[in-house]
Order: sequence, then C-alpha cells, then structure tokens
Amino acid sequence: MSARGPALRRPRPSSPTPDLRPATPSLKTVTNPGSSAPALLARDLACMRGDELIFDGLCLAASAGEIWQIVGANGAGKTSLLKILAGLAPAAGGSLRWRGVEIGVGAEALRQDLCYLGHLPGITGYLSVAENLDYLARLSGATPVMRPAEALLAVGLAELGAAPARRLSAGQRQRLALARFVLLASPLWIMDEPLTALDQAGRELVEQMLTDHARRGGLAVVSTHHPLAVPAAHLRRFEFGASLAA
Amino acid sequence: MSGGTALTAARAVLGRDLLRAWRRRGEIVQPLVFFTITVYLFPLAIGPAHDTLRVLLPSIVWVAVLLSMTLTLPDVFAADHADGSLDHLALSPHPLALLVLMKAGAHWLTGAAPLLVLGGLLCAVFGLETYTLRALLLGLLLGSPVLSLIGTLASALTVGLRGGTLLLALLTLPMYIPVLIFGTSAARNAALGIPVQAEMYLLAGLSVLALTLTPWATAAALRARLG
Repeated sequence: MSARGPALRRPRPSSPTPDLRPATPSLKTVTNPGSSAPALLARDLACMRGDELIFDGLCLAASAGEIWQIVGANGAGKTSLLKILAGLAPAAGGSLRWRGVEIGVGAEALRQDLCYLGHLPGITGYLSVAENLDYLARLSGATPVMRPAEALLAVGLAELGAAPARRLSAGQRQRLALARFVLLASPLWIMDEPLTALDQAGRELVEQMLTDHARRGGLAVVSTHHPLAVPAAHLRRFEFGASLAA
Repeated sequence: MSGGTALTAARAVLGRDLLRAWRRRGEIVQPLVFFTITVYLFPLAIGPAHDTLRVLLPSIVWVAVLLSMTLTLPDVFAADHADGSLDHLALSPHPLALLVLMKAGAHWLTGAAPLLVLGGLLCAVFGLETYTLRALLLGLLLGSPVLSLIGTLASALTVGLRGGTLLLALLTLPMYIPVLIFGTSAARNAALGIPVQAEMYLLAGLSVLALTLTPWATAAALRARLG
C-alpha cells in the first residue's frame, strides 16, 4: 500500500460561541467577527518524501478560536503537514490559503502572522536565555505584547534570563521556545509536539496558553499524542491514517 | 508595522552571529592557528632560500586564506540547522536574502578579517616589500568578500547533508579559483613593479557581482534544503 488517504475532517459548522470573541484588543482576530470563512484552508494537500507518497487529498478548514489537534501514527506525516502549513516545505499537490490569500513556500502573507515551534526548539546554546528570546522575537517581526522578562516569568524561566541556554535541560529549552508564543501576538500558532520533555506543570502551561490563545480569537494547529485538556468548544481533532486502522 | 523593520531583523542576525562567535572565541581562533601553521610549513619545506620564499609568499598566503576560510564555512548554517534556529530564519517575514547576507557578513568579520590582519603580519615578518604587501592586502580585502559570499551559498546548498563538511570544501574551492588567480597575479605584478589596478578592479567587480547575486541564490538554496 503506497497511498493512504487520511480521514477527512471538517470543523463543525456551528456558529462560534460568544467566548470565542477576542478578549484582548491587541491581538488581531483571525477572521472578521461573524464571518464563518475558515482562516486556514487546505485543499487536497499531498506530500511526498523521496518517491514515497506520505499523504494526499488532505483537506483542512480551520477557523478563528480553534485548536486543531493533529493525531496520527508515527510516520503518518504530522510533521510534514505542519511544515507545509507553516510554509517551510512545499506541498507535492493541492492548495493552501491563509485569510483568503494563496500561499506557497516562503509566502510572506502567512509568515507575518505565524509563530512556529518545530520538533527542535531553535535555541542557540551559546546565547543566554534572554538573548535567545530577544533574537527570535526580533527575527519574527511581530509586535511583543509584553516585556521579555514577563514572558520568561510566564513560562517559569524568570530566574534563568542570564544563564547560557546550553545549560538548560530539554524541558527548560522547550519552555524557552514557548516563551515566544507568550511574548508575541501571532494569530496563528503551529506547534509540533509542544509537550515534549515538559513536566506536568509544563503541560498545563501549554494547555492554558492554547486556551487563552483560542479565547482571544487565535488559531492553533498542534500535533501531539497526549490528550489536550482544553475546552471542548475550541478543540478540533484531525486524525491521520484512519484508513490504516480499517 | 510596529514589530520591527527588516533592518532590525538584519541587525539582530548580524549581532547574534557576532555574539555567538565571541562566546566561542576559543574555536574561532583555531582557523587562525591553522592559517599560521600552513604558512610556516612552506619555509620549512622550501628551505632557507630566502628569495624563493619571498617570490612565493603572496601565493602561499592566498592559498592558506582559501583553505582557512573553507574550514569556518560549516559554522554559517550547520549549527543553526542542528538546533532548529535555521527554521526561524526562514520563517521570518523579512527578506531572507537580506538575512543571509548578514550571515555572510558575520562570516567575513569573524572568519576573513582576522586572517587579513594575521596574513599582513606574517608577510611583514618574512620581509615582503611594502608595495607587494600593500597589493596583497588590498587584493585580499577586495577578494575575500567573494569567498564569504560564495561559501555561504555553498553552505546553504549542503546544509543538513551528511559529510557536508568535505563536500562544502569540494564545492567552494573550485569557485574560489578566479579570485585566487587575480589576487595572486596582482601580488606577482606588484613584486615586478607592474601596476596592479586591472586586477584590483576585477576583484572589486567580482565582489560586487557576488554581493548582488549570491544572497538571492543562498535564500533559494536554503528554502529548497529546508523543504
């Protein structure tokens, strides 16, 4: 079996509940209030790795205030999908739209609004914790909504600001990577396994961050095997490889 | 956009690479030591014939500069790829060509500029005439940006490849040949008392050409490698 079609899931067509409206005015809403048009729309995406077809015919319509949990077996293509959605990797077929604008690899329309966490946290060991956060924030071009020290406090790294990042444990690195999400007001979050290496408090932190983000009208696409304790009104699940199980 | 301009991001990339180089200055010194040893091997191999050495010295310095700069090229993107920060460079909304130009600039400042100073000192120690020394140093100053820019492009092309370090040297050294030819020919002509303007103009031209073309090629290569 070379090709396998993932289960096609679409968001429930119900109208957004009142708590989906943005609570913080500093964050742009993903779609206009009242509009039901999906912010991130993927049609018939296909992904190749070498000569092997990883997935094709993948459709996803994600709207403001939603947390999309991507689940699937190892090798199903979760990371590939997130890279395609982030505009890091090209899709072998299909189209991708962000706020109605067609996007491809390196499209600026998406990168303005995106905060991305890959399976590597992107932390430079030779820089301090605060320098790492400052560098990544300035690179992103997004407007910080708080001071960097406050973002470090929010992720529990307040006392490590001056420490060299190479001294951090894997979980602390992950927390530092998450500090960017708190610091910047990006409407679209794409996170690849954000719970990796985190302790129980860290997981609860991610869940709280995702909930706040969705309440403000942000959109998050998250790949994780762990159940996410976020309000069911915001949570959507996308399951890979349902045909495999059959 | 209040979050920052492309210039802010460019300064951040340059500042971060320079800071990182400063923090690991113990490793940055290694290519300088390699350079010095390479240059000092030739007097030992050629023997004490002072005139032969003086004739060959500019060429020896040029070759040693090429080899030493090849050694530092993996630093440009490989470490960033290994820790994941290269993804964030590619995901920045600012022009990637500008950001990789800053990476090449940081490579020149940390990997080439110290070699120029050291090369000048070594030549002075070996008693190179002032006019030849000035032609050699001006040639290195005009030619070394090409080496950093082409090296950055090759570094982007090989990022994430296993055995990339040797492949990087195999890719870059042939592309360094034009710079080497004009640079050494300038020093040779200077030793004979012939004007060297033509070579200097050509080296400057190559620099401008590399400066205008390679950032875009490097950005495209990075996007292709990350995909």
